[in-house]
Amino acid sequence: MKLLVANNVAPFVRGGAELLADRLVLELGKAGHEAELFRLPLGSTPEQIADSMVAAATLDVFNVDRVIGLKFPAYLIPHPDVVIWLIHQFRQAYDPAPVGWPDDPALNPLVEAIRTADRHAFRDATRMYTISPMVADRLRQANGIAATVLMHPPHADQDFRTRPAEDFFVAFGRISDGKRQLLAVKAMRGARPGYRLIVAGAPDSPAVLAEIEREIDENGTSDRVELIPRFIGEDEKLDLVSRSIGSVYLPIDEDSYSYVCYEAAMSNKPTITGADSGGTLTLVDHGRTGLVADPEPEALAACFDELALNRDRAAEMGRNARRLALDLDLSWKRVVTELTR
Amino acid sequence: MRVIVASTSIPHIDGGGRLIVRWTAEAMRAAGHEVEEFFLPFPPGVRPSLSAMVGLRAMPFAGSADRLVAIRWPAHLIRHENKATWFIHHYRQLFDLWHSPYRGVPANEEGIGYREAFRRIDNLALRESRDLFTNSLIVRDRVREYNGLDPEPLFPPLGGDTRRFHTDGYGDFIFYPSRVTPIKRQLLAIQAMEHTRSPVRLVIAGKPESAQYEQELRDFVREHDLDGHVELRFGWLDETRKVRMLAQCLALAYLPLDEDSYGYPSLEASHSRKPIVTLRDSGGALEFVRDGCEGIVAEPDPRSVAVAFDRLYEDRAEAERMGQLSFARRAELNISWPHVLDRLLGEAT
Repeated sequence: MKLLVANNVAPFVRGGAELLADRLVLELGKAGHEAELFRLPLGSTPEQIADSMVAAATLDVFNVDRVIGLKFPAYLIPHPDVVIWLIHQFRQAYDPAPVGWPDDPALNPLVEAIRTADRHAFRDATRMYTISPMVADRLRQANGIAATVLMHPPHADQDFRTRPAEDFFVAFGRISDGKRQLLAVKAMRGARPGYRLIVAGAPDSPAVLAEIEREIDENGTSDRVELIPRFIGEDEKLDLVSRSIGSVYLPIDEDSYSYVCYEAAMSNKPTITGADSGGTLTLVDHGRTGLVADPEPEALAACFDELALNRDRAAEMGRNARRLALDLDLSWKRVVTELTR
Repeated sequence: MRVIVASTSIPHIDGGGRLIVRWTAEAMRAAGHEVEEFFLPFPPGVRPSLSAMVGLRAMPFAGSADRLVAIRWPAHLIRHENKATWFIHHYRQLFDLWHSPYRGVPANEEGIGYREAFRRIDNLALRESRDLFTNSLIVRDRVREYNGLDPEPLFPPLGGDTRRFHTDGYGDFIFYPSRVTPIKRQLLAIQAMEHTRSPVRLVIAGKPESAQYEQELRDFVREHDLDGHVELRFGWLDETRKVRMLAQCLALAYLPLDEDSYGYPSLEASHSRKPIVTLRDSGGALEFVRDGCEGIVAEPDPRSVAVAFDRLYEDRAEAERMGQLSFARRAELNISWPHVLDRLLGEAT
């Protein structure tokens, strides 16, 4: 089949969605299809976003049997056979502020236009999939559309390993307000002695990093928190998690199970996540594969203590987490079969 | 510098139009720039083009790079505050092919309407480009004629590591590697082999675009007992083998009809220090090859081509001398990535 995988793009920015799209094109090719990636710039201002909808809607894709749409507005491409595998909706038009746009007479007509365009695209799609239960829930609530959950496999094949727990937790991910590493660092104030927290990842901005450094300074937790404020490579990351007690990951309302949780689980480690962290709950089942805490320092400190002081229990949760991750059956073969059937 | 190189394409068709984009992006990266390539699907045909042009115009690229380089038509319509257009050709059926059998658009009011609409759209997009280049003198002349603008010719070099090309003597065969299609006139090269008097051989290599033309070539070889003189290697020619054959051949044949530019085969011959046999009506190839210097410019007629083939076979010293001039010609025309990048990236570099 001649396939066009359609994603949106902000030029010079690469993240999980870009890696996912690249891997999908590769896997479709391996399965014998002709697959090509098309990246439609989304822009950032409301005017540009309106323009990008026009660009998608006037695109005439010749020599393509099926479009596989991943994101707004790429799935608006007019074609008789569009299969949507939704990474996430354009949340600015659906969620309450601050994720969503504020109620504004200048923006409301565009929000309405986006919702209308989405409604038609979702209705006309040959089939609708989402990459996670979370995205499917939002789709049901916001658009009244039932989609099949087709969880995204990891974009890389990794060399997972497990080592005995040393005396630290890891907190991975881009260091940003959205991932709330600051909250984990604050929790260390009230944590019992005997273990450390390693925060590793590229900071989104110097300000985010400075705030964490100030917190460590002011509360004298420099012997409890280690900061590695840079992008850390695959091998270094897997080595650190393999020697940890467990992983702490506190995003706000994440779209999917998240690679950070998956990598911890595959390394036989439990994860501590937030009750409002969204998709992470796919892999973190409270008390069985990790702990779910209210997003505030005291509650988190209690969770840290619980795992750090009960290593056998932590190790058992880690083993359960790996079993749960394997049960998700995250294979590219399955994704390719579904998207091309 | 952050650069977007944008071009149009038909999905799943890997035409030569993609090579210039990839090679340009690669050369920019090698020079330390951050580059993103965009191949934007664009439909064939005049009618679908109009609405698709609206879509290209809408794509929000503004503000997302320090420079945008637009290549294949009509990528020059993309809006960007610092846009350079490297114009490769017009919508040819409406302009330079209008008076040819390839027009494909009725010469009535509707056809003329499209031509004038496309002309105005081109004018707008070319004029708003901060810098305007063409890939050949011919295309520059066409832009002068159809759009009243005066672009700078900027000749595209070969991409990749060109050190792969080398010279391994001047053998007994003329090599014609190219897409196999009537406009490249492989048949004329084969017909010439009926008239050669020396033992020179001809090797045709490339992917046939139509089964009919492929058959025509095969039939001609068989019917004229040319099997011992002409070798037909239809199909994809892998790069290593092509480089070896370029190294060993006596000369390159490149006989297109009215080509837009000198064509990549000419540059490959140049890198391999080989003379080029081309024709008086081959168009862009003549911007590279001057008769008696970088090769031989023959008449578009089998006897004249045969004389050129024999001459090179019988005087290898002359073939070698022309080969050296063919090598030197690139520097003379400034066909080099440093120059191309300098111009494409503008003042800011």
